[in-house]
Amino acid sequence: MRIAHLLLISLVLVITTLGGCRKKRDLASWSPEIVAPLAYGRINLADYAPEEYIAVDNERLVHFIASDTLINLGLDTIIGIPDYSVDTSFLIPIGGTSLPPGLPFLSSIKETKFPLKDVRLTHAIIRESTIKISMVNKIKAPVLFIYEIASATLNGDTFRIEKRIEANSSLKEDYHLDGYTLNLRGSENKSYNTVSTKMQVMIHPDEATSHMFTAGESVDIKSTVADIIPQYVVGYFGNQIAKYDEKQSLTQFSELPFEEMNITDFDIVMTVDNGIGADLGLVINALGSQNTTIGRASALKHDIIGSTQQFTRAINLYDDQNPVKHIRKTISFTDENSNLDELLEIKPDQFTADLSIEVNPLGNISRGNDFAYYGHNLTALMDLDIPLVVSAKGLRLIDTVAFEFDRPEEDDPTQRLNSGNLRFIIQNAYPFEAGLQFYLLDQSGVLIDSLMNGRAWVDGAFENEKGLVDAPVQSIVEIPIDQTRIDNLDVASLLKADVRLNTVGTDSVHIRTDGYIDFKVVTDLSIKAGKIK
Amino acid sequence: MIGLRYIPFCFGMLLSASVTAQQPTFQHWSSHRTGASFIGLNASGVAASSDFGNAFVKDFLSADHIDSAAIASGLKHLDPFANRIGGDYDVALMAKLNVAHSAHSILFRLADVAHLHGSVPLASAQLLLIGNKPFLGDTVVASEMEASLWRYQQVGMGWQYEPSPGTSYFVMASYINGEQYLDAKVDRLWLYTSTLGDTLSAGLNGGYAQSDTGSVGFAKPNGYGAALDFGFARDFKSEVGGWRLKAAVYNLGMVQWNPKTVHFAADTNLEWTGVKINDVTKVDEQFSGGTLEDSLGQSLTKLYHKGYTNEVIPGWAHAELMRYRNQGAEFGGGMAIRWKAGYKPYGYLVGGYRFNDHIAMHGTAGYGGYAALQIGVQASFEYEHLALAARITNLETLVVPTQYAGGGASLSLRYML
Repeated sequence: MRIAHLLLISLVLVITTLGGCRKKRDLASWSPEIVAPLAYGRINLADYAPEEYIAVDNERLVHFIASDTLINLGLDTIIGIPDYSVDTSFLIPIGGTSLPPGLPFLSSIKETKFPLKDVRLTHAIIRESTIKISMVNKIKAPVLFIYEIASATLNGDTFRIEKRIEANSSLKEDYHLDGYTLNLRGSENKSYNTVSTKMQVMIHPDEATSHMFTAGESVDIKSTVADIIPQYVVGYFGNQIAKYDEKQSLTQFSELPFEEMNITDFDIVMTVDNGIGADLGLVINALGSQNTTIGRASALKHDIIGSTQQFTRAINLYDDQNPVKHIRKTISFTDENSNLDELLEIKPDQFTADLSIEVNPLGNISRGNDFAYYGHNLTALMDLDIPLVVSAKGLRLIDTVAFEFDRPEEDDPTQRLNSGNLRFIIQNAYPFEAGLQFYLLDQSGVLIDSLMNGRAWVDGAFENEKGLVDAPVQSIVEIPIDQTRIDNLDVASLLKADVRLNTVGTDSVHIRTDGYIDFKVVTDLSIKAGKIK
Repeated sequence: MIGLRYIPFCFGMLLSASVTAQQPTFQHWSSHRTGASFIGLNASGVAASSDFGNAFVKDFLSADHIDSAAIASGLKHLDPFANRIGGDYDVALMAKLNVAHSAHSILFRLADVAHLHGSVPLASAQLLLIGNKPFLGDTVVASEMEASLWRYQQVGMGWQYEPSPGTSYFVMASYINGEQYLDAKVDRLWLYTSTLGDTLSAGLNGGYAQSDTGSVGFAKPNGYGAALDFGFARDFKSEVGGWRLKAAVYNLGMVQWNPKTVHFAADTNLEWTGVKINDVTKVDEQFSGGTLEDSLGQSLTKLYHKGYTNEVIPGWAHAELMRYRNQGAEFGGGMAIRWKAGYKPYGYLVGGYRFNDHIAMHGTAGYGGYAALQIGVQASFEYEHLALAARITNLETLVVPTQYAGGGASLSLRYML
């Protein structure tokens, strides 16, 4: 009986234990075929141009509009007033001399003539300048220092500084001539380019007694007028020829959605604006563009190159609000008279100009009444209006970009892939077709894989006789995917895109706001469901 | 030597398919020995399907990979609208202790129970196993799906009254520890895949509840409840022998699943065309950072909530009438119904032979439950203190494995004290 008991209890335990420790089984894997949309979107090439540079005409044709200054030569460039210094000093060699307060023991009037070659300025208004004055008083009594630019007046008052300087001390201060009118004709009103400076030093009049000078007492004065920016100058600007190498940075073109483009139609006007009251002869020796990123440059071919453009002087209106009537001259660039399109097709990031300017080629015909106002310069402004009618015929775009296929180390979903396709459903409303091929490269640029089984073509729509697309054209492009390709993606470091564009039925394509490329990405995959070994 | 002469008969029994089948097991507390105490073990596991074939199920459970031909073969027998599958697992320690040689006995039962059932239309199985590619440009309707999974442990105490030999009444109350629960029901589901695959449209009206997903493991306390079993057995004597009528109701009760139970309900139509790429020059940004997962996740989160749920336990009622004798042919039949179990009323006929007081063999042919025709065999052996009963079900799947799915076995051991 006891054996039977033990057998029964043992059997119960075994069965119960087995019931509690049932082995967990995985289901077998199987391979369903899943078709599902992954992504969609619309590409409108017009959207990739910056809004501020885009205009749309009545036919919805997109125009690239930009305005940029190629040349800007201001007053300070043509007529520069140099810095100048006026220094003086006073030394008592032998003592015993007594002077009462208020009687100058140093009085100096100096006229400074600017070295401006043929330029003869008679009148100027200062916009900005700095006067740096230092004085060292080694006299044993307080002195009164008077500094006066006799040529500079503001509302009838002469520029004048009076400073008390204590015994055996010094002064070092900055002053400004902003807004002062300078009479540059000198103290006798016969000269030009000349300013008159007067300096006086005396025992300060507030002192009660005379001062007995002793040997070695001295006064040392230095003054410099620097950083002069004139607001207005009058005179004769001379007959001078100056050469300029100008570089003007650009940002507009870098934002255009084309790696390369072939502009077939353009209307570009360069306006040369003379705001300087002198006759000018402008010679553009060279004008070019550069794309420093890709290291390409292009030089302009046009009648303007090398020829002298004469500009008559601007007119002085003597109106504070609108003082100058500018003289403008426009130069038109078309595809017939220039190759300016080549300058733009490289998507330049800067313009370069080699210029020569001759001032007063006919001499002093104004009799000393040449003038220039600050901000009224000689400028060359280029206004671009480029209808985005671009040729893509035979254009081949090749670009290589680095990429990283982020494959998870655990629970990698790509392990469930058997095979299939990434399907691109493309509705193209642009009249160009594109042949696509993508290559996977390793870090050294060695080819690992081609994503397409031969070049895949996206069909282009047809433009009618009005240059309009009646209906988009659908194309389906498939990229086969399997485990081998996933492995190749894993080891590749570079993706090389090789795109060939061809316009359809025409040499050029109109980029319109109603043009688009609709794309849908669909996964069509056989996957492993269930367990994966 | 006695056993040898029974062997041809046993084979005959099997071949004639007059055997037992997928009816629920009686937790019979009565025995031929009125008032006898016993301890014992009941263990049973059974699963069946009305439409899935055993070969197909076997492949799923044992093969590494199922190819498309095997899937096509497995799916060709499915019903367009409802393909049921269900199963039960039950291991119980039982004891009956007679009170002072009286007509009263104390009953005790400790059990680990699992129940699974589901019903899927052909289309949903096709979507799951073949994918949606064969349905490009078409709408797949896969409505009326359901699935339910229960796992619980049960401790029961009861009382049995045996006023006379062959007559007994019992009642048992059980405390239930709810370990795991999942109940999913989809009233409406359709999926449209456009011809090019660039649009998926779907309609869904359904939901599910699932017990605490962070508390998984044997006997984890994720819910509690109570159930009541009661029934009787009575022998009727006649001139040609005896008839035994047994009837019982099991697991009349419910479980309250705790507040961490996840509920999801949706009644919506969806259209999916992919992630919108606003700027092709910044595709990475639009796929990075889990943007896609976030957008889907946020919309799904709104449909989730957690909270209590009270659910009636899958239980059943069972009645059986058997002609019995001390030796010779025995026959009878029975009927079982179940609730909350996706189970069709199951009727069966029993036939067999009792060789003597110790040994009997019976077969059952039944219809209903989770399948259609179901065939099984059972044998019982009782000698001195030991009583043993074993049953194998769904033998029809051995004959036509591609068309029928199911299988099961049960074992009952008792030691009479």
